[in-house]
Amino acid sequence: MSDLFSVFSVSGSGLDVYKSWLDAVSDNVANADNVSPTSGPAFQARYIVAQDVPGGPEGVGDGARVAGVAYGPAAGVEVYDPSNPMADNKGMVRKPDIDMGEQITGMMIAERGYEANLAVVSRAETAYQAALSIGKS
Amino acid sequence: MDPTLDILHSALNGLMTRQQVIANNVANASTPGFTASQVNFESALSAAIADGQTPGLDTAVVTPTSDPANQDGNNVDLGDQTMSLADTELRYQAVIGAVNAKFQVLRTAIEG
Repeated sequence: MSDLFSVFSVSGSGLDVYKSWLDAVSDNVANADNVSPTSGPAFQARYIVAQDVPGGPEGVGDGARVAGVAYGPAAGVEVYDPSNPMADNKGMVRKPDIDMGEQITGMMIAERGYEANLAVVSRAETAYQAALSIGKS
Repeated sequence: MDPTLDILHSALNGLMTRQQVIANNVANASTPGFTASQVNFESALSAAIADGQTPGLDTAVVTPTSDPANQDGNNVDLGDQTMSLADTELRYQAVIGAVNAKFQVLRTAIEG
């Protein structure tokens, strides 16, 4: 990675991680009420696993990356809904085990994290602009 | 030649390293087990100036912070980082102002 303007790539990696998190949350929330038959698995919530990237100029670190994805339980929760066409002979269907409070809290954290990385980008830009002015008069 | 430009150059490098470290801390604000780093270049720089030496261009020392970690082992405090970033950027601009002033003096000396 280039040493010049390296703050941008570091903050960009942070933006990527938070963006992935926001994507996962929106997917989870959109599918929170999915219904499936008890014979199959429920929709599994996605959770982003972040990891720091060592290296970078002078070993200060090269930002963050999405190391992987963790999934919620496939078992979900069984709900009694006999009018549903997918209900089994006991009247049960399977729904995802998604805690809406947890999702929304995660969304707020991800949003703030995204904003914080953007703030770093604009600060760095101001500093770089000043550096480019050296020697002009 | 007087070491003013070397000192200012060293300070700019130190501040730029600090900015990179802050960017890395903020990028990892939600990474489990991540320990934030901090940068000190002022003590090495002022020691070199006090000894009358020309400071090296790389006096920055990166160390992990010892702030308490939260449950997932991460100790990045976004408020601290934002404050530190604003501080770093203003110092950076101040040092650049000093560099430009020094160049202006040199230019006046050359051109008369």
